[in-house]
Amino acid sequence: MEAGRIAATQLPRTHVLGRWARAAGRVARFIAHDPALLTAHVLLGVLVLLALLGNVFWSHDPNTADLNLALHSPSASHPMGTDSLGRDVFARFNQGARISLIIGAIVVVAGALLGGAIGVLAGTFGGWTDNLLMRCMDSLLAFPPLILAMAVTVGLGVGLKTATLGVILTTIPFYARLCRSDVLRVRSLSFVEAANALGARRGWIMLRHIVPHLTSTLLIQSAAVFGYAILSIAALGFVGLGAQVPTPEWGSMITDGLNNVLTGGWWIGVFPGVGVLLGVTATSIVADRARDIFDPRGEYLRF
Amino acid sequence: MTARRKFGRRAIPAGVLLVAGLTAAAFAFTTSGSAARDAGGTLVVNINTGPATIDPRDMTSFFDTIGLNFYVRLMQYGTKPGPAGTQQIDATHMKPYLAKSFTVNKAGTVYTFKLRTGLKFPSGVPVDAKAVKCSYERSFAGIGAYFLEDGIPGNLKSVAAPNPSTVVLRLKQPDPSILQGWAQPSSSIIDCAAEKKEAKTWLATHEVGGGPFEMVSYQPNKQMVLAARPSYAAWAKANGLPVPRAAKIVINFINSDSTLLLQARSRAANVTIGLAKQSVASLKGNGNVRIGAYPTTIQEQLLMPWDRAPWNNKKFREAMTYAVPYQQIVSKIAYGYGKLYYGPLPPLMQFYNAALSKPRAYDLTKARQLIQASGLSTPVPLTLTIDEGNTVHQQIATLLQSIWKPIGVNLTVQTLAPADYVGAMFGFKVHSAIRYDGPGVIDAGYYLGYDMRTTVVGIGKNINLMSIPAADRLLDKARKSLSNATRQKLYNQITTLWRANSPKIIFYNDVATVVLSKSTKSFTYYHEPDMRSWGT
Repeated sequence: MEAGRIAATQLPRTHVLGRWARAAGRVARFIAHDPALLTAHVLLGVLVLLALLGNVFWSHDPNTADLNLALHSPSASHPMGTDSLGRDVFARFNQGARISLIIGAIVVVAGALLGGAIGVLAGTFGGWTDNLLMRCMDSLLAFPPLILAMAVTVGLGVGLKTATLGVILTTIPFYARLCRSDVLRVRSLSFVEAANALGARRGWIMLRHIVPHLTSTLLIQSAAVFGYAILSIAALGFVGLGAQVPTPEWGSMITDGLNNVLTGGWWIGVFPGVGVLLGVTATSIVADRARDIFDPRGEYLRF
Repeated sequence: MTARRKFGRRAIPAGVLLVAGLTAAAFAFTTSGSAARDAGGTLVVNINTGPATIDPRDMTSFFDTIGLNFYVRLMQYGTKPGPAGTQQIDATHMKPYLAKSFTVNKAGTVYTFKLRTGLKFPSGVPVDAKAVKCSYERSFAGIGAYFLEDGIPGNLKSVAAPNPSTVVLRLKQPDPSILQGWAQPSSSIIDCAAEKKEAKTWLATHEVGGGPFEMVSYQPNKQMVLAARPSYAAWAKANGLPVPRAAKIVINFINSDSTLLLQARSRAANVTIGLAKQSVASLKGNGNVRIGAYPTTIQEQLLMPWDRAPWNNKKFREAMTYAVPYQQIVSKIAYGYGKLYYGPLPPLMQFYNAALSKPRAYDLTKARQLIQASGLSTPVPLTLTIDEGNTVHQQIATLLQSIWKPIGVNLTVQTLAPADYVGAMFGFKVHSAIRYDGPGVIDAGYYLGYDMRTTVVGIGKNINLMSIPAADRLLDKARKSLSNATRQKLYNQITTLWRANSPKIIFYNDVATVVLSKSTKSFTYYHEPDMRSWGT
């Protein structure tokens, strides 16, 4: 009896681990078979590497100005050149990558938690709770996202923190709407009805049976939001509402570069621009393929 | 093959075609711009900022004073040969304009002007003594009074028009530079009867002058079109005054430096004003343009409000004046368009003493020692306010942030929108700020009257909140003196006192740059854009 109980509890675990291992293998094969997805992962890997270890293998201080080195074109000593104040653009690029990736992660996590919670509450409880929460989300959706982020930033005081808050706010309604529609779908499935019939509390059903089914939706949306966050922070930085001097954020670096591009100093703005382009493109490809993986009607499941 | 990949195959050639199309369109736009200008013979002036108002009573900035082209004044600035075959302002030689001649009494307090006759406003009303009197009285209601009285508020005791061709102006105290006050845009002669028929703010966007140009159209912050006024041209010719050289002037207000640069390069503009120094420097050697560089009385400076720590510590102020790489700033940030000095009066100003105004050296060791001697504990926190969009200020602030950290000064840069920046400065709310400023009247007394004097009528205090009472007393004496030798002596003493107090940092004295197309044959640089002599 005792042994039987142990076996009974171990079986599903093994089953789950096996399922995860199979899924991981399938994802790895999937990545290896898709050149675009492989490239996207390599690019993201490089950016993460530069962000994490850039200041270890490249010791230039991103904020130290030396006018004697101003506007040096890319060379072995300065792979991405120097800006108009003689600061090393590569060191600033690495620091910018760190800022962009950290903010992207913060926006994804905060947006998913807040938006997801709102969507789950609205979908699970329905009625006036649903109405109230969704009308709030509709009102946020009424504004173009970047304009809303700019308004929040200006209202709370220009800076990287407020810009991040602004961007988070713009992602919440998208998470909320998606999660709510998923909750409504899952709520009508038979296992939820069974739990209801057995007398389970709504809170328990929500956490135990509904939320786990939102994982794929949240993952797909998060991948898309990550790229959006990088782009939005860069856009806010570009118009002077994001990072303030001397913070080497990609958007503000592009603005700096704009002043130099026609006078010969193309490298100041081009490299951070390429950083934004690659970061956003890579995350978009990942998001796109993630949708294919989790979409049961998608062709990629056939491999 | 997936639909996405098919899309990719189609999208790439489509993208290439799009880029090619846009490039061709941009090229066509540039070419057509040049062609239109060459064919029409119209003078195109590109300026980086539009005027906030063109009402003579309220004009303050360089950009506002575009409005002076619609009016005449009693006096005008003289000119002298400038660089690149152009002419430039000579503030030491004032010349009559609407006035034919003038006399001044021995005490220097009564000026009697005999006016030229025959000039009329578009309404048919003559531009005469009555018009001068009512225009001056109107300007007294605005900020224009400060310019009209050469920065000595209340000094203009009366304006009388005993007959249509005579104006008598009485002063309370003599002021040797008052003639500049009467050449200021605020002293423009307007058609008062026409102005009174309109709403209060109407003149901010319209004109009621009889001057060299009339307004054809005006879209604030976009474009203003001027046409030479035939009645003025006839009058000027008859009176031996310069006739407007351009029949039509199109003034474009373009905020983007890149656009200004591209248009200057492609000869789409005859005159480009306000181009960043870096962009100007990039045009050196370009056969399509000439670069005019003109000394000004404007400074890039760092304000150190004396009433707050740490700027209330004289040793600390002195220390920071040695912690600035002046020469590097001039060569790498101002691209050579700046002159170094350290004193109360800029080099172009009369009574400037070069021997007493030598620039401070860049000496971080000395700065560190002075900070130690100041008794302040390091790191010293400082907040430096700059205006958004001003690349030069941002570059200087970032540079100082990097240089001052090792000597124990932690600088935080605060960037404010232009309106907030001005509000914070004139509200005396900044901890320190970088400011680009120079006087409208090119006179030592006028300049120090608002820049150094402890109390300033109108705003209460000077913007740096400095106070050197002994220098104030010397300034008051200098402003009343009619002897140049005495004034020189007094200004020398002021310079010595000023330097001993290290009241602020002067990064450099600005050299204004104007980019002229090859076809622009005639140009005179004034500190206010008087366009009479501009033409192809």
